[in-house]
Amino acid sequence: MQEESVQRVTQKIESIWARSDVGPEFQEALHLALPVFNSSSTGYENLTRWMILPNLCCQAAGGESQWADDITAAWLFFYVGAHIMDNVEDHDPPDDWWKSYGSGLAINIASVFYFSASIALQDLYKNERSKNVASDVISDFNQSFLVMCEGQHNDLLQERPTLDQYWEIAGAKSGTFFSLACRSGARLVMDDALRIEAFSKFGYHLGVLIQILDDLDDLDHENLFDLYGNRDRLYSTLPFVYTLEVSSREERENLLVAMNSKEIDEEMFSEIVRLMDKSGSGIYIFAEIERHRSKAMESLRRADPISPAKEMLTARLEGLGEI
Amino acid sequence: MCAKIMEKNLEEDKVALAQVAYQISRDTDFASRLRIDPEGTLAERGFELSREELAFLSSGLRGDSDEQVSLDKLVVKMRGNWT
Repeated sequence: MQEESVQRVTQKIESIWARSDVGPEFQEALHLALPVFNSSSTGYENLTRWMILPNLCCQAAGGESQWADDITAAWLFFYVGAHIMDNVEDHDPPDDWWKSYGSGLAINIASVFYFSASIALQDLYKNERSKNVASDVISDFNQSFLVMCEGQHNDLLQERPTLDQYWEIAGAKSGTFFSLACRSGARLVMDDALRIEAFSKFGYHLGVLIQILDDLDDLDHENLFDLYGNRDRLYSTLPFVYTLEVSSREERENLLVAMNSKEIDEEMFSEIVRLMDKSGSGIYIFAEIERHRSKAMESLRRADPISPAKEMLTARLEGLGEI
Repeated sequence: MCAKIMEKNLEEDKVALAQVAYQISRDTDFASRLRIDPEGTLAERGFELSREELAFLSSGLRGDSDEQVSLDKLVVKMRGNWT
């Protein structure tokens, strides 16, 4: 089912660009920037597993998977567009396709994805199944993006967020975005406010859980070396936010001294992780992973999903953060 | 402050959970007593956690302190889980 959905959505994306006036060379550049067209790209497997959330939630609510293709295409465009903008705004290492050209090119491609998403959403009006809810869904996308932009604004303002600020930002950005995917898919099928809310909450906790895992990934050796030149970014990740919030003054100073060392090698990397671990960051983060997985599972049960999408959503959630 | 394990909104207080996690890592006596008498131990220190929060915390505390979930193990186990 996943492969079929991904195939349909990529065809949908092709058709959006094909019916536009953009030339073949530019379309080729767009293909390079959209990982779903490149099965060897980093993150392809996870992206294709999660991009079909609207399809799965539509099906779980009692509809057909393909009814949500327009929404999935729009959500994917926004996902990749926001990822590009986030990378540029956070001064993260560039993706291969724009490394040689600079951030201006990346921002232009992200803009294309936003407008492509807008076209995909307008197509909801053309489909018998979705035309009646098109206006509400489009409004929901726009409102959600305002909330996400507010989250990003606060993220950029807070050089070293407090723990409370971290959770607010994670909820506003990742929670809101995944919540939108699940709610929109279900909305195509039903108008049961309680069940739609349950799908929405499922997506919210899923999104926050994914943010936690993303932050842990930044501590992976290779990524930490890459990110070390951009230390502000690391201070916004959960292990650092937690440690700086709860630790004694001496412990905080030790961590900051290690972080401010000119060079980072294996030894210094281990010392940074050891200092954070000494403060219980492993125990705390594991508890938060369990919290959001449990809340997502509880919300999914309340949504009363239908098989086989129910099992597919459950398996995806169970596979996240499992140790 | 009279602390107790209570039913409350899970979204309410992420900082309390963080403070208890810190105490567990820094105070072996607190960690040991928390396993035996969670309610009394939390009350003694003035912490308030919901039953769910305590269960989430306990899931990372398996057996003796050597088996606690550590950050480096978590990073390795979660590798590629999402990105």
